[in-house]
Amino acid sequence: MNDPKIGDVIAPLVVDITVEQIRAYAEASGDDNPAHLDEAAARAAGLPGIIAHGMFTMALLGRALTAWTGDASRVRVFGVRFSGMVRPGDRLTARGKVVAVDKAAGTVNLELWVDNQRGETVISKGVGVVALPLQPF
Amino acid sequence: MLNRSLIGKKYPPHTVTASAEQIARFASAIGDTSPDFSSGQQVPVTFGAVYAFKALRGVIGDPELHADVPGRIHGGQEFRFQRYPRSGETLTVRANVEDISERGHLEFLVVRVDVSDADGDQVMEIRSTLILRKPE
Repeated sequence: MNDPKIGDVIAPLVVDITVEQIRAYAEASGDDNPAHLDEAAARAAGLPGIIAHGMFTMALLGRALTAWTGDASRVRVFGVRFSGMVRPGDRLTARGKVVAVDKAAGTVNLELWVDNQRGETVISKGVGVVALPLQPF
Repeated sequence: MLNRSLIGKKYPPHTVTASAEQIARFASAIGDTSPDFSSGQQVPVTFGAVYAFKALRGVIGDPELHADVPGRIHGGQEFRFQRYPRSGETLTVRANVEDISERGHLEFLVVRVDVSDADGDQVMEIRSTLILRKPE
């Protein structure tokens, strides 16, 4: 992200979602809600089957963001809205682009989102504020 | 219906310490192979969800709030960093009900979790927006 400019895009990150990944995220995060782990419980809750944690999808977007910044500690703000369900078998693409560069404040603002193989947005209105390379914490 | 009289309610603080192993396991689960994370030297940018998890669950489970209902969905999430947490650091986690609002047949609960360090300095603030369907 040397000398970022408005319109620069971050490298898209493509991930195929599997049941194993969702289980691993449940274990690593502590979020063992049955909607993510148990097909029958998910259906009983009115879902089409198990769904990925929103936080797992956000974590993938975070990966794309920090791959671009090169250093997670540059991230000042990272926020999203969850706008769609993610199911095993979905192919997600995490994306982002620079929307503002404030050299005086030493920050870059990004718009961030995640879409699936049908072009549906599953994370919308993501916001990232990252520090320019010269201003680490 | 959510209990609006609880807007501003603060919950008792607790401490969390994330080990390098726990951070590495989280990084592996999200498929991030960066050595900064696998060594536990840095935390992935959404690792705050782990710091906040118990506090958030405590708020949702508050019987006076009426948030522990089926069909609740996670509508949004935000992390704001004042500085970056380190592995092995003992952090204090405080949750409060920041806002409750409604729009149409939906209710919105915003839970804020403040994470601070041993000196009392703020490390990050974490906001979770949960969406509930109003009872018929």
